[in-house]
Amino acid sequence: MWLHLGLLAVCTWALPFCMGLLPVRFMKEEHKSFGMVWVTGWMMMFAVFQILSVPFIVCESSFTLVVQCYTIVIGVLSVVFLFFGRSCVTDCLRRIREKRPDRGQIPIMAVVLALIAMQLWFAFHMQYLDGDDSFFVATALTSQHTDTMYRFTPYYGANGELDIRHALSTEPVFLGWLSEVTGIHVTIICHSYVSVLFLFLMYVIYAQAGTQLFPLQRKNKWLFLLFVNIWYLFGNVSIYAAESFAYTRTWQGKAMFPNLMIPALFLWLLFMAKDEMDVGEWAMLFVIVLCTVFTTSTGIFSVPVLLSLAAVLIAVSRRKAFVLLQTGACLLPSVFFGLLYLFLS
Amino acid sequence: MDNMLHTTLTIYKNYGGGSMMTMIVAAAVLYLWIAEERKEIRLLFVHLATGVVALFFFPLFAYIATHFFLDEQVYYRVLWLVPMGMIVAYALAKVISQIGTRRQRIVMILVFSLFLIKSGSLVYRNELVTKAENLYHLPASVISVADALHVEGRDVKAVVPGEMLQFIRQYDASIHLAYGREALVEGWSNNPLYDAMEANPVRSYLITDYSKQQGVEYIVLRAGTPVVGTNPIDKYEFSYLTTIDNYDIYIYDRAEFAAEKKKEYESLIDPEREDYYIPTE
Repeated sequence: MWLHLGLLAVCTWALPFCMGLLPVRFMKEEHKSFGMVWVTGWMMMFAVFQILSVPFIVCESSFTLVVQCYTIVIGVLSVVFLFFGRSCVTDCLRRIREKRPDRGQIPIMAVVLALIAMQLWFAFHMQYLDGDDSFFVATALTSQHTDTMYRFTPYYGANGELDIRHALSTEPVFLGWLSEVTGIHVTIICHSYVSVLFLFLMYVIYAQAGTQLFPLQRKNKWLFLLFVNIWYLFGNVSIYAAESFAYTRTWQGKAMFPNLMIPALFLWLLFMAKDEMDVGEWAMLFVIVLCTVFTTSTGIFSVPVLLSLAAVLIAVSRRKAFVLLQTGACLLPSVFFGLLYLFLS
Repeated sequence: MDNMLHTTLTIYKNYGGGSMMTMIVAAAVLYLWIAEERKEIRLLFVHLATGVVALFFFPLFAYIATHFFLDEQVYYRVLWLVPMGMIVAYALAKVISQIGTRRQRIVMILVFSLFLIKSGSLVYRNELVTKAENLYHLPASVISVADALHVEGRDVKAVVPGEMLQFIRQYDASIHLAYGREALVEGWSNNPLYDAMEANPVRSYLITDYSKQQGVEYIVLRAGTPVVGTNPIDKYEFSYLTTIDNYDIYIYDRAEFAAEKKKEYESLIDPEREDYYIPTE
């Protein structure tokens, strides 16, 4: 059991951390933090998986081949990124020393951390029997069992044609990879681990957003996080609300889209609006757009709408038309996968 | 396109589910429009958020989106592009940060928190959220039945009661089903075996005949389900195997693994097991 848990820790903590070091190294000094490293690392892992797995899926190659290739590629990339991004660790440590919380912050910080810990505990101990899992989780398990991807109907196991509608959003196959590498059943991975992990990741993204929203008033960052916590905890107002998805389907791509990808996109839009985009930030915006496709095909259409609108507003406000071109370049993954979808369907 | 505005309005109302969620977001945006001085925040949380909502309601956009890109049933996801929690939390934190004394700040934090709590709905109070029975977060009975159906080294095909359809293949993908979750959703599929299985009483000839036609090797029935027909199920080549967690499992006699399975469960058969077979003409 310890070997499986160790592998899980490597895949979901060490690898994202290594993968995040290099992009963050090329970001602005004020954006660097261990939280940012971990967030960007996850985005990198998703994006690499998306780029690597789609050709295999479209060519109807075996799942094993994807697992082998991705494991090698992500392993090599992690080492390379760790080596070239190692200086980032010193920068992040320096930022921690500079940002020691003052005594006034501690009570509200404690409440926020207690609330998050409580939610993670509930995510592990409570279950939500969601019908859509018979597609998402079963797709991952079917991939492992049949050594194919999106060929067998996960609902009942019949062999059919490639399911193009879902095949371009590879998140279930990624979970299959995690299960294959760690040797833990994918349903346990999804329901008892990823449900906790991605909820935590969501709050790390919001914490980064809080830092940017209140750069000079750190106490307000915790206040912001407190209200985000309450908003989410009491956001189960309908089956459509993103907040409901955050708790009940955390491991599904369509829950990751509004709760991980959209907050991350707004964090990057904040960088854009503040004109704090360096090479690392632009590269990561491209990567996040790629990740939105990884989570759900809805992203192919809706993310270009959001980013185009934002780019026009920023370009007008800052009188800087070049932003349109840069944003357009970051939207290429959506355009590419949109065209690929049209071509294949 | 005439109905688009009506449709989007309905979707918007459903999204909030009768709560004050969308009103609170609108109030936060309005507050930031009036009070926010930082250009970048106004741009994102006021102008961009308003722009997205305006697009959501704009009939031409809604028409194009629902006819060419998104299904009408998932059009609500356009609203996901507005980070409602982020906007509201920022606005509330900003209001509190402008309050002078510590005591007043604490009072206002409590007031705002209570307001959010009262106007929302706690996720753990959702009736579908229950205590997990195992690490799989699946019903324990599904796992027990799946273990009984499993045959090492080969796939099997089964037909199971409706409440198991969504879960069994999340545990064991080697168990194929005659129909899956789509049978539960109206209009997704129409399998006569599903209707036969969910009937009460079930007809022995009907479920076994359809099962044989569809290559089914196991029939799983809720224990105590009345069975009617000229003959009991086992006269139609499906033998009773065992009962697990209140589910009766029948195995197709001609299945390759039938003899081995029957031997495995032979000693477990309860001699006093009650049969719910009602003979009919």
